[in-house]
Amino acid sequence: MTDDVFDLPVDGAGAVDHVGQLLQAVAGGDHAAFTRLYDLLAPRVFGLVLRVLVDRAQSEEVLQDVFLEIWQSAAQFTPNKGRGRSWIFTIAHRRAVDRVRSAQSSANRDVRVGIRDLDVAHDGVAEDAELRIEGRRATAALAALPSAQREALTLAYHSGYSQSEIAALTQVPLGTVKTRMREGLARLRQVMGGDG
Amino acid sequence: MTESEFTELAAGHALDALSPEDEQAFAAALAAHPEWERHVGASVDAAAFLAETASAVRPPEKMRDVLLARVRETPQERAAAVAPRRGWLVLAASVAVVLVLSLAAVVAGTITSRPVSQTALDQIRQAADVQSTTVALDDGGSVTAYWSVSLAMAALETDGLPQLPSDQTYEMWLVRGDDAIAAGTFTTNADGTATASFDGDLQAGDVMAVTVEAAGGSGSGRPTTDPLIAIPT
Repeated sequence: MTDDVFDLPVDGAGAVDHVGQLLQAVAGGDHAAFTRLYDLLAPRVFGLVLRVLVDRAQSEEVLQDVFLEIWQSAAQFTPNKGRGRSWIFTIAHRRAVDRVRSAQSSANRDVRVGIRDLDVAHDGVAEDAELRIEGRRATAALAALPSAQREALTLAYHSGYSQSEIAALTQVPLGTVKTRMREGLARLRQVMGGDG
Repeated sequence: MTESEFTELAAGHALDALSPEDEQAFAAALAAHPEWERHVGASVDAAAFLAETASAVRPPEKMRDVLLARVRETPQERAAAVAPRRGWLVLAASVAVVLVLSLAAVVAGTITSRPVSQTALDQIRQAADVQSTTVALDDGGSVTAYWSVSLAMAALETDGLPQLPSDQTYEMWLVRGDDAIAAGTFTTNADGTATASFDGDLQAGDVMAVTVEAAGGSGSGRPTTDPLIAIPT
């Protein structure tokens, strides 16, 4: 699979949403587009699910469920409301968190929030250049956040903890956790929205 | 709830980190303030960047074959049959055409029925300003709505509407602006027919809607599922 088909993003404003276009084709029943979408995004989605669930077998099940849902409900993706990959990651993350909150998985949840966990390893994974570059930018943006905000975001997003669990884990009031999440996301959006 | 409080909930929602209570508060606030949707989209896009900080991992090759085979046997939701998950109250009130929605998610259960008075329906039909619309549902059933602004009354008749299990019921709503006003519940006869009149006084511009809720009606006093029909009056 080549990665020279996709243009590099230009400042966000002029970029074509290739994943979104594929989703629209999938909504029309296009199997080739679905296969292309899987090949493009499955490694990234699987990596995310694995990060949340840790357990390999469960992650494989969730990955299947995610892509089945993408196939079934591609018509729900509305291009003017956001990017195709955001829609896909939203489905993947919600399913991963739902699974991790079931009793058996909770013991395995990853509490480690060290800088090393922010490493983006791509060896041996054929991936779209656009995704790879954006992944690096996102990792750098996350690493640049104030540590309290980064911790709140990572515990929630990558470990699947709820806000009240995070408050207990980090020994801060719930209100503080909520504010840190909002501020952290806002800052992340600001940095990523700027030019790369 | 203030807009500032909502932005905090939107962030927690985008991270899938809200408690069930906060998730409900979030959904209710969004339904009441559809203009706050922009905070949701912004948070969701930001959360997607977090997805990209996890290392990519190649899934097993056999999974690809299994998945592609399963997909060939899996039907898709059709675009016309899909309702927005949030903010449907606003969509219902602003569209000029009737939304036709799929009942694929409704599970047929044991037969329940109860006698329903025809009086309200007869009154409406005899009103000088009576209007009606029939909505064909994707699964073959239909719902005919009747209303009269002068009488401030609304009612519906169904045909071939799936029977719900005993722990569920159909609930009627009058959607006025950003509010969904509960207007009673009904169940269908064995053949999928039912007649039901909407509680309360219909006002011109209300949207008549029906959702599937827990038996006895939605405990929260707000719809918890997407509407089966949404008919502007």
